[in-house]
Amino acid sequence: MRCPMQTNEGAGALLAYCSGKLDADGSALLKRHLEECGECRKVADAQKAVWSALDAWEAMPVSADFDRNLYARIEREASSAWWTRIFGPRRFAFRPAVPLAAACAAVLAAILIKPVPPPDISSQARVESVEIEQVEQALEDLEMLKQLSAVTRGDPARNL
Amino acid sequence: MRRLGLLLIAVLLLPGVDSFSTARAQARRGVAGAGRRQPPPHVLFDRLNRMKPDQRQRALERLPPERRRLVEQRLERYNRMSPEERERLKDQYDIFRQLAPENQQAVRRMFNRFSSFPEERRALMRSELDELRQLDETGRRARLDAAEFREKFTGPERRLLEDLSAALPAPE
Repeated sequence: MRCPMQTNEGAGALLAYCSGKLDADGSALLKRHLEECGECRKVADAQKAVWSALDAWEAMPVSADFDRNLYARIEREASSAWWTRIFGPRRFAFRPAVPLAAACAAVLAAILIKPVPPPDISSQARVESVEIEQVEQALEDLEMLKQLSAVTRGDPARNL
Repeated sequence: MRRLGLLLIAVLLLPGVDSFSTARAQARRGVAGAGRRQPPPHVLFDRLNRMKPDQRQRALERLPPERRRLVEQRLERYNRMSPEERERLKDQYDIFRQLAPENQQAVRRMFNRFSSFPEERRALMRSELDELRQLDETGRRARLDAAEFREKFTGPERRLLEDLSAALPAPE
C-alpha cells in the first residue's frame, strides 16, 4: 500500500480510519500499513488521542428552560431594528472588547511611536544639487541655441 | 484564540503602517523619484524663481562660485526676456530635447567649434544655418553644394554648417 501521508486522499483515509468511518477492507489494509509505517502510526495515535479526549468530554447540563429562553431571545433579536442588533446594549460585551482594544492600541502605537526618520539632509542636498545642475544645463543649452540661431537672437549684441 | 487572531491582524497591519510612515516621511522630505525626466527649462526656472531666497541661496551654493555666478546672470537675462523671445527659444529647445542624449552631446560639441570662430563669422554662419535648417534634405544638399556657399565660407565653417543643419532641424 502506498503511504497515506504521501497523498491527500490517503491522509483522508487515515483520518477516516481513526474516527472509525473507514470500511472493513480499507481498515484492514491501513492497519497493516500502520504496523510498518512509523510516521502514519504517529499521526494515527495523535488523532486517536483527540477522539478519546472528545469522547471523554462531558457537556455541561443545561437548564430546563434553556430551549424556551433561547428561542424567545432569537425572536426578540430578529424583530429588533438593525442598529439595535449591532449597537444594542446587549451586544456590547466587555471581554471581547479588551483584546480588540489592545490590538487597536498596538496599531495606533505603531503609527505614533514609530519614529519618522529625520529629514535626510544629504539626500535633500542631492536633490537640490541635481535640480540646480539641471537648471545650469538648461541655461547653457538655451544659450547655445540662441547663439546658433539669428531668429532667436532678438538683439545680436546681447547674449543670454 | 481570539487574542491570537487579533495579534495576527495587528502584525499583518504593521508593514502597511511602516509603508505609511515611510511615505509620510518622503512627502515631508519632498524626495522625488529617481530617474525622472528633466522638466522643460521654464518649469525649472519657475521653480527656482518661486523658491524662498534662503532656499534658492542653498541650491545655488551647491555650485562652485564661477558657475553659480554664470547661472545667476543667465537666469536674470532669461527672466528679462520678452514672452515672444522665450517662446521662440522654447520652440528651439523642444526640438533639441527630442534629440537622443548622444546627439545632444554632439550638438554641444559642434557649438564649441562654432564658438571658436570670430563673432563676424559667427553672425554669417548663424544666418546661413537658419536658412539651411528651413530646407528639406534635397534643398539643404543643393545649397551646401552651391558655388555661392563655397565662396562665402571656409572649409571648417562649411563642415560645421553641414553638421549643425543636419543635427538640428528647424521648428515647425
